[in-house]
Amino acid sequence: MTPEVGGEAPDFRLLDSTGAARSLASLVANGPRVLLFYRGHW
Amino acid sequence: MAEYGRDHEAIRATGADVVALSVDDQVRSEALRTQLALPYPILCDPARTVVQAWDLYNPREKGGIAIPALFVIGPDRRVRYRSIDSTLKRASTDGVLRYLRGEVRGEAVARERVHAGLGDFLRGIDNALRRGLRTPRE
Repeated sequence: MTPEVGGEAPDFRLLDSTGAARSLASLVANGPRVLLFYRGHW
Repeated sequence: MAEYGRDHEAIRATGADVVALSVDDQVRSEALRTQLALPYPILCDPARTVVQAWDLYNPREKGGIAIPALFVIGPDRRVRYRSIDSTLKRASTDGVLRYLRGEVRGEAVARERVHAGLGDFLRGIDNALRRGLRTPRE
């Protein structure tokens, strides 16, 4: 279910392109994040 | 993607930062980050776990990819702004920046038509030739 404005986004943990583990909670810990979902590279 | 790289310092000046997410694996994602010199991280969701959980999954293209979307998420993980986009229209980068600066409310962020440039087209062909076409759920 797509999080609504005002709702809490569910936390997740994924690897980034360099292999580092990142959670949503850690990404927003120091301030707001613009989270871009994109279609893919090619 | 590239616009948020170009405006990254301006976004950081508001106290915010950027992260991108797609179903691409690490090789493809790192190739994109390098080619566009993106100063922010790219998350890899090749198992489609997050895009499916967030209901942002388009199974009909390229073996299943993310629906374009943008969220601004606060430190409490509350969604402050969201725009569910398409390949044709999306929240304008300038509008998102103005929102982050507190100059406009979320509902006033303009949406704009997406114009893929010749560079995007040529880069896609080059990557496909050098690295192969995407296969479903690789």
